[in-house]
Amino acid sequence: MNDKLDSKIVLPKTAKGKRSVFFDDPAIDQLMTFIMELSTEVSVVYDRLDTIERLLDNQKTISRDDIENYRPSPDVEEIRNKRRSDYLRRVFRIHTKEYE
Amino acid sequence: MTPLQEHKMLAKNNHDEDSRQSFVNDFRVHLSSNVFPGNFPAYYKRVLPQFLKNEKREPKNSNEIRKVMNKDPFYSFWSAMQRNSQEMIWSSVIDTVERQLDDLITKSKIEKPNGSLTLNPNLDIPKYNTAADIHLQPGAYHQQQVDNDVSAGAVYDKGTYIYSMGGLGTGNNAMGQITHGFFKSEFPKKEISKVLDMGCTIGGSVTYWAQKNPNVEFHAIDLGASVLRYGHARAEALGAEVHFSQQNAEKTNFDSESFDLVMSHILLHETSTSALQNIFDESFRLLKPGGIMMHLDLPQAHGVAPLESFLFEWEIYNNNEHFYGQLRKMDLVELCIKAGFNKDNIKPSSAGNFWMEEQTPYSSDDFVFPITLCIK
Repeated sequence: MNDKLDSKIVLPKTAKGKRSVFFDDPAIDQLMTFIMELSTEVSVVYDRLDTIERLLDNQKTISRDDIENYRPSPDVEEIRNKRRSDYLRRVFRIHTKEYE
Repeated sequence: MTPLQEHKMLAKNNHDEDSRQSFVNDFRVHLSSNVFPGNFPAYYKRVLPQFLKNEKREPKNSNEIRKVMNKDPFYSFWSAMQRNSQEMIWSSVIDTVERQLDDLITKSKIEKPNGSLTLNPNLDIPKYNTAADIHLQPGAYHQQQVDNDVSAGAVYDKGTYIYSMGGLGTGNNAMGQITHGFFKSEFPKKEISKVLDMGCTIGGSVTYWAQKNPNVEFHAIDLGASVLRYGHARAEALGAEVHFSQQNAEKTNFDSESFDLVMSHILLHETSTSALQNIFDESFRLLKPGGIMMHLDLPQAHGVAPLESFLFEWEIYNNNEHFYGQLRKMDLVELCIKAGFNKDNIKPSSAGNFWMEEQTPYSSDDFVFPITLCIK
């Protein structure tokens, strides 16, 4: 999970230009960013857990390298895509076309 | 997410980056399929009736719709999520590139290339490229954080694929597939020996053309040294012979009447009014008699209903595509005539996924790009 940095170069992380604000209170825009980034990280943790479980299906112990080197097969990726899609519908359920 | 086709320059994800990038892709799919369509009922059921009540008439144009839709909660939430998803594309790939940048720079140095790379550190980067970071990519196309930097190209390669939700194809070359399929159908007997691609970034399109036409001499130019270094090494890794050089498409150092085909892929909307005329003028100058100019870009506003126009224009205001607003309204035929093309040889055309060789998740969508096509 914690890769050793091969490079000491730091790249810019924010884009030049005015950041759009969509709500009367810009704090809501900021909260949207927090919520979306948190949603991302929950999904990442879920995939990592899924990787660990799948590895443990076939072996008694696993190392960090086993986790890092694991890449989902197309079948597993399909299961994960479906899981992410369901997850997005659950978390953001009150904001879809069906509610309009 | 179907992974991008591997090549030597593609930055390698660790486990979590792989997962994060897949999530951003899936989030964008969710937004486009399950959320974006809700803007239509939001408008027709809520925003339009209120407008009619207040103004006693329909909105005249996209600007009037923007003023009222900006206050609608459904539209605001969708916009905030769409904007964040765009930022998340870049944040999900920058770490990957940053971590292995030294290695990527080393790999980008090719000892005996088939093509070439010519950089010009003194090139003036025009304001339309530096005023804001286009598409919100931090540092944009021209950033130079370190000597021999390739980071803008490495970030762009992975990021644009997520932006397109896989629509650019696993070779990140859908635009090239479209222009190539279109060109071969439109001009089946045209012999070409020398071709220029303007605003090539990492050369996704031109590299595809070069792979398909190994006996043709391909040149590709861009303003950004980093994207060119990356594009050169990427083309070499894919076995394509392309000559990359750092030049402004408005005024190049190529000889007059030296190309059979001058083309670009979604370059025009990232320039300016004066640059656009200069690019058409320069295309005309570079073409041999009988040569072809072919610029593919985003749809224009002519004949588009105000609501659809307004939704199309979202990226102008929220994704730093500032010139696209003006481009949508311009008369490109007029510009071609001013550049020197005979009116009878200007053939506004369009092409879309139909011309692609490869099936992508969006192949069935009926999205077409206008092409400014002229014969000298």
